[in-house]
Amino acid sequence: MANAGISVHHALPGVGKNFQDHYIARMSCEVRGIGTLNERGRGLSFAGEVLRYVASGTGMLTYSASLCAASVKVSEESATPDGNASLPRPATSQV
Amino acid sequence: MLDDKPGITGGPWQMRPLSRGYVLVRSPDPREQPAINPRYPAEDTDRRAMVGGLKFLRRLFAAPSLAKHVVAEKMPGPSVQSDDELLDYARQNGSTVYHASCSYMMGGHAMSVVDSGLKVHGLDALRVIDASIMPAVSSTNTNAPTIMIAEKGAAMIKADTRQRLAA
Repeated sequence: MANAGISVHHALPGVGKNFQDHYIARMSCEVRGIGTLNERGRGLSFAGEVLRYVASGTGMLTYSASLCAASVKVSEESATPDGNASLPRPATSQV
Repeated sequence: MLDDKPGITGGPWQMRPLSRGYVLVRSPDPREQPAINPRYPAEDTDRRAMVGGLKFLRRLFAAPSLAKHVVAEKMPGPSVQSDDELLDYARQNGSTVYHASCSYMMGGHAMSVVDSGLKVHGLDALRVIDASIMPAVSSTNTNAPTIMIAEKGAAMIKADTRQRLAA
């Protein structure tokens, strides 16, 4: 606080500490023989998705960041599931 | 940005990370952004969970029901194999899940910021009601627990106000 030029009126050392977040690293594969959001997300098909959303409030535009998720044990020492696998997401050319 | 070809993307993340970061004010000007450092994977357990998660996803993509559709792994790709290589890939390409939390943890110890009534220790009229009061991040998405904290906090404000008006 002093470094930032702010005087302390009420000292609480825990403020701003203990910050936590989840960290994700994505993997992607090219697939065939099955429809994916990649095709539905462009061109005429995407225009169709927009119309579908406007008309019925359904379709690709209503999907959340992941459509399903699994809680899995990924570390030997963990007694309970300690990993979350979120998928499928639209495959991206950049992660 | 969507890929040109049909594809599937999956992402593993560790549910209960041990790494602890910080949020620090940098200026007396409230419009200035604070310094936020999540210190992802500072702890060895977290690094192993990250690698374990990527390996799990590979096993999943190799399961018969998915493998019949998979042409090739694009990211990180077959050249990335060892634990160190997977960890390096995760470090270079990973990102937040937007579950930022826990920087004003609730509790009754020296490092806690708010009490069980969500009031800042030592102050009577200041509450913190958001995901920052979680002592540890929830195992899954923070949306539902944060709504719960908000509902509970709102109920406590109403109860306090009623009590004050009645007095």
